[in-house]
Amino acid sequence: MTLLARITLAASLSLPTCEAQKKLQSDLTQANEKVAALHAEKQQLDQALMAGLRSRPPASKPGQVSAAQYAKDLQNQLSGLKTQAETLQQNLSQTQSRLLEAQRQLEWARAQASSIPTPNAR
Amino acid sequence: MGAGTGQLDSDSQRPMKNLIALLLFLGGASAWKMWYDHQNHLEGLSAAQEQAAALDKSLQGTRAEVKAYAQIAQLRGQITLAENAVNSLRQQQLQAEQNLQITQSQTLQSLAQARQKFAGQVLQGLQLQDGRKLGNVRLIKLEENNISVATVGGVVKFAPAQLPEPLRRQFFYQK
Repeated sequence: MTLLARITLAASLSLPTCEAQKKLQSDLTQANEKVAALHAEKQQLDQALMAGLRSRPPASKPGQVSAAQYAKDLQNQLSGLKTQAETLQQNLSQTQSRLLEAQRQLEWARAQASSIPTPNAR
Repeated sequence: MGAGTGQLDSDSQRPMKNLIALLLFLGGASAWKMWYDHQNHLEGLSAAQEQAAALDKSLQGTRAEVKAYAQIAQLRGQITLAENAVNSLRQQQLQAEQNLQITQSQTLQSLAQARQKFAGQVLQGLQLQDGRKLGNVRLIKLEENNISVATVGGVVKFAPAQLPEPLRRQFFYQK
């Protein structure tokens, strides 16, 4: 009896506690959920990747230009367009100022023309 | 008597011993089951964690690429807007330049009409800015870049800038 009791006591001490077992079970569940979530994410990413690949123009397909490089190229293109728009806006402002001045001159010229009597009237 | 009592004790303890043995067996079996489950869970956890780590690592590149594509889509939208803005500005610039040209042309026409009303008028003792003295002249034609006058010696052409300032003002060559 004594020996059996000792063996039982030793075995029970070496066994995981109920709390540890529960924690292990919880960790395992979490790890499995994480794996499942990663699989789901992979599927979504693959779909997004395919959509992205399809949307790229032929000249920039993978193998020729990476997505990051392509994005960089587009960023440069956008910067160029913004600069172009700024220049055009400045030119337009200048032209509009000149037009305003020209319209004032026209009004003045018309006023002068109408203020002079015709030679016959003189 | 003593042997009889010992026999009785032994017989009465047997079921108890059997029960204890059964309990010990059951305890051992459930302990073994618990240990076995625990080991299985540990292995499962380790495998799941390794799989998750490997998947996460393999997805890093894909995530970056998909992020780049999202950025690409956004940039494309911005580029379309910027192109539209540039085209619109070009149109506006073109329109403004045409309007400017038309207005300038109309101004020149109005001034030409106004100046031509002076044709036939006689100017007494006209002296040009370069020192030439033309005497009495009759205005024939007052154009944007040339003025023609009739003098005693014939027709003389000169630039409007040669007129004295009051006449330049009078004939709208200067404001």
